[in-house]
Amino acid sequence: MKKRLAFLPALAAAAAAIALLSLLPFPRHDVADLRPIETLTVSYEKGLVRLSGSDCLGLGNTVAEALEDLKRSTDGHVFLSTATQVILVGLGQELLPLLVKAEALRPAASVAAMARAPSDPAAAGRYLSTHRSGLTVQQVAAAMAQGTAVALPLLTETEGGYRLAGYVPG
Amino acid sequence: MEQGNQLTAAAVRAAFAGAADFQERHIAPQGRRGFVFFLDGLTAAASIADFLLHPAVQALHGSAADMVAQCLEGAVWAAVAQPAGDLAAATDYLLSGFAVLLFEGCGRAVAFEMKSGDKRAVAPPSVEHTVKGAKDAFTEVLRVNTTLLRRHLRSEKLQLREVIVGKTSRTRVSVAWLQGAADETVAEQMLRRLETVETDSFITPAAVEEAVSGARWSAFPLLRFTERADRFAQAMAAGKVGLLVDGLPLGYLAPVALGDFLASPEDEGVDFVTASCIRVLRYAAALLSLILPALYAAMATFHQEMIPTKLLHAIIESKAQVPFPTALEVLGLLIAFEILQEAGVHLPQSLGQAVSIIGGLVVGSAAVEARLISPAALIVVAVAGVAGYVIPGRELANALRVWRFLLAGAACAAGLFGLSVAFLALLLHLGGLNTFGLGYLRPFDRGTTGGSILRRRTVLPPHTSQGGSA
Repeated sequence: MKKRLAFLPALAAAAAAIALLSLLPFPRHDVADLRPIETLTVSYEKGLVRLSGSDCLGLGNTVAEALEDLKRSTDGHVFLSTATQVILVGLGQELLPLLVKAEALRPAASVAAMARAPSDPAAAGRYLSTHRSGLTVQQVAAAMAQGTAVALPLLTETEGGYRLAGYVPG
Repeated sequence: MEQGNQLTAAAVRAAFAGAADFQERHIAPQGRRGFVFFLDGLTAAASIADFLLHPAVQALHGSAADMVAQCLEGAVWAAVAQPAGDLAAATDYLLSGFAVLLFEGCGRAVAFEMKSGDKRAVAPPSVEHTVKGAKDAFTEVLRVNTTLLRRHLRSEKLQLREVIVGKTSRTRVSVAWLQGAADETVAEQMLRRLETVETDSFITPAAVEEAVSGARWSAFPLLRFTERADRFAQAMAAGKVGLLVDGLPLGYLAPVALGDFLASPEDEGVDFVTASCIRVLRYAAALLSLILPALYAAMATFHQEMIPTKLLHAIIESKAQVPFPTALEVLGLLIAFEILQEAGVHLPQSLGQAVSIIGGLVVGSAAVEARLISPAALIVVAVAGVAGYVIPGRELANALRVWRFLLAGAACAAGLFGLSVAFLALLLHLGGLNTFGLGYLRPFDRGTTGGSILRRRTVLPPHTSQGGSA
């Protein structure tokens, strides 16, 4: 029986060693340290990529730099896996392929474009969460792979609300 | 015969020298000196007077050897009369509630069964409750238990073999099985193990279990116990081998499989569809009890992307201002839960309930309000604990409590990777366990058992055959 159980400490030691040596293929972040972003706003102004959401802001010359800055400048760990809406503002629409390639966003996140930055990004996010744009990051990635163009649904801020045009029924 | 084992009145007196309950009565039938020895309390004094002393003095005659023969032939009215040829046999009989009659100058005695009627009455089960099942549970007296078994299983094929185990305790142990239903080799193996047990006392459940199952390095039970005579009888009919120990108000059953501990006596009180559904629920609860804290710790520490967004937000909000990391929180709460459970077990029932209420509700709520723990972690540990109570076999539930810690520890250290490794280790461990040569994971082996997670119909309709689909 002892012989049969000898593998248990060995397995435990192997698992502990892997964990302690940080060889795990996934990072360790306690849930309390997470800063989840639900609506990510992407814009491009004066040569700077600007990523913002949930009081977090990242600036950089490229999408990668902006993502890095977003992670570094935030108190806690920025968690983009909860981002269910991505709003591309103005020239930020051109950054969509780079964002998709960065693989920082969840595939099911819906994508919409805006001509100008929303006055209340949280309200825009809430609107998008109930009126799905019909275009997801995954669909954009598929279109990129196929070499086809995608039409971005356009979110417009109206007096006291929002309106979604170019909606693609999902 | 060894000199020290010679049966004389002086030797019997010396064996029980100083024992306050040891009693001796002198008689002289036909002028021949005789001694009646008995232990007060174990025997009934009135029975000794009426059925031993009275007929012995009146009916016995001749030499001492003649009187012994007459006693064995029915001159003395006691229902059970056994010859005792040496001191050890006489001592055993005295300790078993017999009165021993010994004549001067005769190396043989006769032991008459005069057991006292003072014993706990047969009562309803205290742990294994059922709504519709029988209400007679085993008691501490072996003979009462065998009687209950006979009443539930009126078959001449029911075998009852008795063995004395324990050098000091001299505990009577009965091995029971139903000829034709049980595997005789298992019964023989059980008897062989009992006969070769080298122990001083065979009084506690742990001593019995370790002796029979071999004190293995496992938290998982390798013997099943029941306090219900009907359940014991039913197991006999299903081919199990039983073990009844004098002094223990329960019966042990072997061989066992994991599924035996997830079957409840209540299953036999309801229709097979309901019983099967409830049994599936129990398996789910057992799994939940085992892995929920580990799964929560792994997902909250490593794999947050697996948590639905709204739930993740709720968890993050609940964790705000809690100073401890999730891993510490979960392990701490598991320890606190075990402490509370242990406190409840050792206190009297009324106090135990108070401790549970104070500990679980008051301290738990206060800790959440004081932001010492998050409600999410508290709910997870509480749900795992409550799910553990769904398991009818307490021994299995206890084993899962141990492994719940191991799994949670592994998950805290290495997330789902650690959890998977620990779960794999558990499966390997369970797969390696066997009782009396039969695998522990038999319920999941469709090849040998046809799968026995669901409760089968006890009586099939006449137009169907076993295994038919109707």
